[in-house]
Amino acid sequence: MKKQTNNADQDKKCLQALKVSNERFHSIVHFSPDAIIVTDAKGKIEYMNPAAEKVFNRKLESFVGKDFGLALVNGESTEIDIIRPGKEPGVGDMYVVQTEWMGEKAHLITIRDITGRKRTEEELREARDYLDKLIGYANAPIITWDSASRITLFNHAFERLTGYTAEEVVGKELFTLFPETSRDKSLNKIMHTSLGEYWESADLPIRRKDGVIRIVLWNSANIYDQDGKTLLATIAQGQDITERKQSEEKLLESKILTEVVVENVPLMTFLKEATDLRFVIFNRAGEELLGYDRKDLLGKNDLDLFPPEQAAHFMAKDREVLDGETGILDIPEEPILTAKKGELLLHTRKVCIRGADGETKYLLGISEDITERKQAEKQLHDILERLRKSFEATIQVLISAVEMRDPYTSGHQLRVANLASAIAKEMELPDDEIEGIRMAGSIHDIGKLSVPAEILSKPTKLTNIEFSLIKEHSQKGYEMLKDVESSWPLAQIVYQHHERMDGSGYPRNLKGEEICMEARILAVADVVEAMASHRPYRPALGIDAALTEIEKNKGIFYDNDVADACLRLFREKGFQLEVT
Amino acid sequence: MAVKYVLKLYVTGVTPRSQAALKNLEKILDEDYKGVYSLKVIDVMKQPQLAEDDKILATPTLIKDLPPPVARIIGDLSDREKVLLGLDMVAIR
Repeated sequence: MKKQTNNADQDKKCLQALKVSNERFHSIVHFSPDAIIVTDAKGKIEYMNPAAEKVFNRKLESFVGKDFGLALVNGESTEIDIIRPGKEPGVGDMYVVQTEWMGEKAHLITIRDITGRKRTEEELREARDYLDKLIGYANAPIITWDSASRITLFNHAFERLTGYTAEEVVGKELFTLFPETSRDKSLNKIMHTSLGEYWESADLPIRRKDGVIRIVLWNSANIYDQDGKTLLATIAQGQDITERKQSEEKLLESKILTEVVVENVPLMTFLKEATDLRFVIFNRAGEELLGYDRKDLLGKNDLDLFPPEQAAHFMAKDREVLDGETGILDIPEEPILTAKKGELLLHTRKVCIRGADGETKYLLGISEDITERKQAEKQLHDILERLRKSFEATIQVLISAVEMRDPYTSGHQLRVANLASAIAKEMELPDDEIEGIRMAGSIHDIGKLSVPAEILSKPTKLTNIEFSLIKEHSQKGYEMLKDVESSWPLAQIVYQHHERMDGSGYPRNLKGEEICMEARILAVADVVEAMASHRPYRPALGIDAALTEIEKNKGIFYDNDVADACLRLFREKGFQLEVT
Repeated sequence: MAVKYVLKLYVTGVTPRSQAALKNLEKILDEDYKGVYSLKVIDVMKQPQLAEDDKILATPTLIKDLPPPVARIIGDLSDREKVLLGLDMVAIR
């Protein structure tokens, strides 16, 4: 009896334990978020937990007893596409273990819904692909390297820059891209980068695969892990500035050269801003000339430095250049008040400087101190003026000497001088030559001083000897004048005034081009005056007869142009000889 | 009379799983069953009713309709032995 009671108690305890165990496992299976399916050995569904309805998004009572299929996995689990009516298909991770169900072989299938995770993975993959493409095809060379300075990324632009392909450099150390001569400097910069200091921009020389060196401007940034401390990688973006660097260097050389030239040129050189005409550059010669230190000049304008009228003049000239079309102004002479040297005279050139956009930017001025030169010129002018007066006085003495002996000759010389200078003016000869002709005309018969006065004023025809004495007056005049200092060839003009174009004149029978122009003019004037005036031995033949003579022998005795000018003077312009 | 296997493969669009299943299956069938099988590939996205009729819960699911018995496998089709065993198909060499 006691044994039966014990057995019953034990049975009861076992049942109780089993019940508890069943409840535990039921709880686990019932509340699992993963779908749990039990199939028989062939794949027929024996059981599905409540989560399966959620995972498959459908009521599943009708599926129990139907075929799920023999579940096959590769390794621990396999991914499957879950068909969810009313929703997009999901993705599940399927785990399969062999078990027993109701005493028969069965398969315990667990399906975890990984749709969300898959979507995230897909988005990440798309984002990564997009980023790879962005970086890969970006126009700027981009490179990344890890904390051991090994290249991890090398985009197409970088390939173009270096001539290396990504395959050739990824995995290699970064320093292989740098020329050996500057490797240490470059590596130093990189080391500082990986220590956490990143440089905004730095010029680094890169050596291409073909050995050519390019200068690249780098910007870089460090990429840290989520802890903000662990350096994962460094990304750098480059810009090939080789040509720009070369241009900059050339520009700098040019700038230095210009500065040296401007500073040392021995003329005052300055630059003013176009807007407010303030000085921005002043050279040493300028400081010395004005007597100011350039620090007292820069930033100021003319109104700050010079008397108002002078300043107004300078600024007016500045505006003339800046607003004008040519952009250049030459000011031959302008006064300037200096600090130490008083008032000076300058010869200034002003030039408008425009920017690349065509806008006026600056005014360049270059000034030469011409004060001393001007003083010297004035002195010379005064001396020359005194000399001229002295010379004229001398000539006057000679004229007076002739006048005293022979009034006919004196009046004749002056009238010839007037006519000759009028002819010369009609022929548009230079003023200085006209003056020379007038001077020569007024003494052309000076040689007659050596001829006895009685012969000069003889009222009857001269003998041959007497005539030959008179003919010597040209040579005598030449001898008197040949040692007189003069800016005109007075001696030669006097010597030649009786020569004729065809060689029939005297004393040397000169012909054509051998006779100087002044003498040719004097010859015509001499003949016209002589014929138109009274002589001791005959009355005046008249101006018409004189002009007829000139016209008749034009080109034979007398120069064509001279003769034509003489004829025009009388016939067209009404020239009058003061005939006595 | 030669045995002709009539097979249906259910896939979901062109997911990696669908593509892998098709590739694996074609390999197995072309190697060992050339000329003695017919395969219909059904996309559950395009023909959901067929999937419903066959009570397809997930893909890839491969069903052998003929010769009987009907057999069905689901999941990974890369293991040739397991696939043939599951479908109760005789390996022809």
